[in-house]
Amino acid sequence: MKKMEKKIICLAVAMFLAGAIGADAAYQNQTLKEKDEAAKAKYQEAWGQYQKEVNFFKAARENFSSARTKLQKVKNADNTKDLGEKAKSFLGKSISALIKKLEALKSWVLNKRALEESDRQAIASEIDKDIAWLNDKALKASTATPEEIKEQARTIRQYWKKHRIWMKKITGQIWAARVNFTIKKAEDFAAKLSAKAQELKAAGKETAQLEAWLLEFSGKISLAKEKYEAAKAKFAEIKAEPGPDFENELRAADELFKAGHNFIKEANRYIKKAHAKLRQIVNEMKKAGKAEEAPAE
Amino acid sequence: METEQTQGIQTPPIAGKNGKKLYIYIGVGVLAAILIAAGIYWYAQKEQIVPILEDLAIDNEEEALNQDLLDLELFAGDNSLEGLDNDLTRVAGENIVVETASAEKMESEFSEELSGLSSDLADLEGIGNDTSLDTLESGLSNI
Repeated sequence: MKKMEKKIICLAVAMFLAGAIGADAAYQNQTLKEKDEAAKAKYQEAWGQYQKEVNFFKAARENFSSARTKLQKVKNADNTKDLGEKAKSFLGKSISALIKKLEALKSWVLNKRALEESDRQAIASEIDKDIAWLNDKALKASTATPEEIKEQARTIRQYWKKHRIWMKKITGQIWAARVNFTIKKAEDFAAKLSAKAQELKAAGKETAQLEAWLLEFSGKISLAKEKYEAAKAKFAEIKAEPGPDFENELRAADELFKAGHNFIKEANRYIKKAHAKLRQIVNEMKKAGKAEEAPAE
Repeated sequence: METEQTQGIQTPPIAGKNGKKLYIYIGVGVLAAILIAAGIYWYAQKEQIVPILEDLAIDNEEEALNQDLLDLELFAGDNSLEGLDNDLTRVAGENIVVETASAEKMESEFSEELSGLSSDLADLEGIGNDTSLDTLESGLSNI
C-alpha cells in the first residue's frame, strides 16, 4: 500500500512538472502578438469585473438615495434602520469598486511583457499598498456601527481625493515606462542594424544610403527619448498626496497629466517615424544583401 | 774728367754665367709661388666644399625618407584589390549573399511592438480618464 502511495505521489509530481514545463514552453513559443493578446484578455477580464462592481456600486448608490428620500418623507425606526443598512452597503460597494479598479490596473501592469521587470514590480507594489489599505477598510465597514459608517465614509472620501490625483500619477508612470521599453528596443535594433550595415560594407556592397537612413533612424529615436524624458518629468511633478487646497491641486495634477500625455503622444509619433525609416532600411538591406546578377556572357 | 767717370758707371751686362743663374732663381721662385698658391687655393676649396656636400647628403636623405613614407602610405592605403574576394567569388561562379533575414525579423518585431504600444497607450488612456466612480464623493458625502 505504501509503495502504491509513493508511486501515485511520484506520478502526480511528474505530471505537475511536465505541465509546468509544457506551459512555460508554450508561453516561450508564443509570438509577441500572442503574448500581448493573452495579457490583454486577462486585463479585459479584470476590467470586466471592475465594471460589474461599478454596476453594484451604482445600484447601491440608488438604493441608498431612495432610502434617504424615504426617510425624509417618513421618519420612523424602520426607515432609519433601512437607511443605515443601505449606507453600509453603499460604502462597501464603493470600496469594492475601488479595489477592483486597482486590481484591473495591477493585472495590466503584471501581465505586460513590454515593461521592464523593475518598473513592473515597483508599480505593482505601489498599487498593492492601496489595495491592502482598502481591504482593511472594507473589513472594518462590514462590521461598523452607523456612527462608524459615517466616519468610514469620510475616510473613503478623503482617499478618493488622493486616488484621483494618484491615478493620474501612476497612469503617467506606466505610460512613460511603456514608451521607454519601446525606445530601448529601438536603440537595440539600431545597434544591430548598424553592425549589419558594416557586414554588408565589408562584403563590398553599397551602403552609403543605408548608413544615412540609419542615422535618421537613430535621430528619431533620440527625439522620442527626449519627449519621454519630458513626459516622465511632468508625471513626477504630480503630487502623490493631496494637500488642503484639493480643487487647485486636482487642477494642477490635471494640467501636468495632460502635458505629460502630450509628450507621450509626441514620443509615439517619433517612434512611428522611426519605424517607417526602419522599413526603408530593411528593404535596402534586402536589396544590398542579395547576390548580384552575373553579367551576360 | 767728370764725363769719363760718369761714363765709367755702366749697368753690368746681363749675359754671362751670373745672368743665367738669375733667370733660374726667378723661374724657380715663380714656380714655387704658383705651387704654394695652388695649394692654398686647393685647401680653401676643400674646406668650403665638404659642408656643402654634407648638406647635400642630408637633403638627399630627407627626400628619400619622405618618398619612402609616401610609398608606404600609398601601400597601406591601397585598395586596388579590395574587391578581390568578390571578384574571385564571381570567377568561381559564386555570388556573395549577406544574410538579412535577421533585419527583416527585427522590422516585423518592431511592427508588432508598435501596434502593442498603440493599444497599450489607448488602454491607459481609458484607465486614466475613467469616470465610472465620479459620483462616489457626492454619494458618500450624504452618509
